[in-house]
Amino acid sequence: MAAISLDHIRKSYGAHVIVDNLCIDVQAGEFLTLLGPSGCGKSTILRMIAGLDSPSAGGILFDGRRMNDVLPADRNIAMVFQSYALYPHMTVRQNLEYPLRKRRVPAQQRAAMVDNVAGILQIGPLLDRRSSQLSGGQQQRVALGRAMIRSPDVFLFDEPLSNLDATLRAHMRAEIIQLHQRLGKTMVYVTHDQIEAMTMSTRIAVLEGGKLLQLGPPAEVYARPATRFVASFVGTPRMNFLPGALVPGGFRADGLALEIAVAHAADAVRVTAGVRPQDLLLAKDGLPARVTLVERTGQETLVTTSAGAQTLVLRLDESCKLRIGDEIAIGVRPGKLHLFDEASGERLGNDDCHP
Amino acid sequence: MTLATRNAAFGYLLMAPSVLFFVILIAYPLGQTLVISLYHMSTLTRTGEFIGAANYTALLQSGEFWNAFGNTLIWTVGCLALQLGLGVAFALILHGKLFLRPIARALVLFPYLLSTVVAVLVWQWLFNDLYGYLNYLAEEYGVVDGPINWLGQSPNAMISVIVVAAWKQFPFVTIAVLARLQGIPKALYDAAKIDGANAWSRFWDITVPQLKPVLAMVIILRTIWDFKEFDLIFMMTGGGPRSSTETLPLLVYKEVFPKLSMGSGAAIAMIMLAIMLVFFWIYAGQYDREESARTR
Repeated sequence: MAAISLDHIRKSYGAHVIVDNLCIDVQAGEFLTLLGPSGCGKSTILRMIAGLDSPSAGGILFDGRRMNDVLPADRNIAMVFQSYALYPHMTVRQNLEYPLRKRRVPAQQRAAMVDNVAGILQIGPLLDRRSSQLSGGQQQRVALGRAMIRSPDVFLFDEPLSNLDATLRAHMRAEIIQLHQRLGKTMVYVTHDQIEAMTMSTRIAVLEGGKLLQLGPPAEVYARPATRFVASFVGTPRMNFLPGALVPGGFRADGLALEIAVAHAADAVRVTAGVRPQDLLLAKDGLPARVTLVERTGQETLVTTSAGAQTLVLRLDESCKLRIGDEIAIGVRPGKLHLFDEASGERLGNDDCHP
Repeated sequence: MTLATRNAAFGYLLMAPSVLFFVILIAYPLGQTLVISLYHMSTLTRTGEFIGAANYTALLQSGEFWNAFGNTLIWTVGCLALQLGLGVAFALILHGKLFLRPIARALVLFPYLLSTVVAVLVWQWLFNDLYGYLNYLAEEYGVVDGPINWLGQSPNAMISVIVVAAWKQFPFVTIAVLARLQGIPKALYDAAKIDGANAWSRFWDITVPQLKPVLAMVIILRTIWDFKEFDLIFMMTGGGPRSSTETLPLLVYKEVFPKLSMGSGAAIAMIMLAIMLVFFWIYAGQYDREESARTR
């Protein structure tokens, strides 16, 4: 276990800044997810923690010790790659043994460690197969094994589930969570998939354009997104956004007959209001809208509507009988409105939601 | 006609041109060569008597044939070794961070693009014992006292032709190996760095195994091509001095044209074909293994 501190990290190639002045403290034993769209710098941050890239400025500290000039092999980390990066000409056993061999672990000890890891991951029957003969899921398991085998202080994951199909992804997600609980090691996990981030992490760091937007437990990021971007990135289906203004008495949406009383009412401040699809409901005297799309998943129904120039998505239950073309009236569940400053995108108010 | 037979008929129609060309350009001449090799036949009259395997037994007892056979082995192995060494070395250099890499890459291809005649003329000038640049340099820097007879003396002549051939052919190896090098996933090296492999073990544990299939391919292809190389040796030395660079293809030529012994030449050609078939068999096996490894 080790705590990792990223202390004012900056990474740039020439004038192209990838990570800018980033500070994150990863606590020992924590599962921290770096979440963001591609190009947000999350993989670069992970590679800097691993020592595969070095920061242009700032310090990387493990338990307070500066690691900038320590080789990847000497940081006592292990990394799992999106492409698995198994050595294709080696058998599974040789792949698992490789990090031990390079550290001159005696053969007998090596065999015991391989058996142990193979037992945990249930890859015993695969040990003598070539890694190139394995399926994606099996390869990912072996890659996990190769990471586990020398009991590193820190596990780094670089989008490890992106190349798997949906069923397998859900399965491996659960396995990694169990692995974290079993080993209790510090894990830093990079993904662009907010479901992975939400389900696995103890904390999520949401990044955009090399900047940290929000760092907090999944529930908090979901309930109180710090910026409009975070609000749109976390949660499926995506949050609805309505441009409008704060007026005395509440929020008034542009061009719509929608006015909602909020605590922070002020005069003529331009804002964007956000409301999650499950917080919209059918209300008799609500905002008139027309149904444009109905998607039934079996357990719920997503209804896309257009109200004026705006599109609003509602998440209703499976008993919903709406059809395309129906005219409905939409209301907002009390206290479920998120307000963001229109210019900066910053969240207004610190409470969960606006009443 | 059912749909299946109609499709099949159309398929045969599409294949017909290639089959026709194969028969006219490959199968027929091949059959003819085999037939001729069983005759005592003059190149000029193209008539002669059937003598069975006599051409073959005569060859297997002739010193000339075995000399050419030995020369062919030395030539093929020598060319191959030198080409591989140069080719892999240049590929590794070009794969690394290099100033003006695009230009360097284009330059490396240059010998391969050069016509054999031009290459031979240039090298003959370099090798010339009286006014050649190599001897001038060697003497200027005091490496030798007098001029070296690069091409007119054994074993210098064989070494010289091998050097020229390797110089001309190594870019093929470079391009093939470089393409593979660039296809090796970077993540493998990253994983190895984290696993504790230094630069040397990364080369041996990742680069070399990844290059093995392409090297096997290159070795087999180049063996087949070098084995039957004719023009370069013929123009450089004509097989001399005293048949010390006379390889099997040159012997075929000598039998068929200066000696007008068509049957004997055809017999050597058939023996060469048999040897190359063995290599082709190995190549085909390797190719199959590659393919199945890829599709697995």
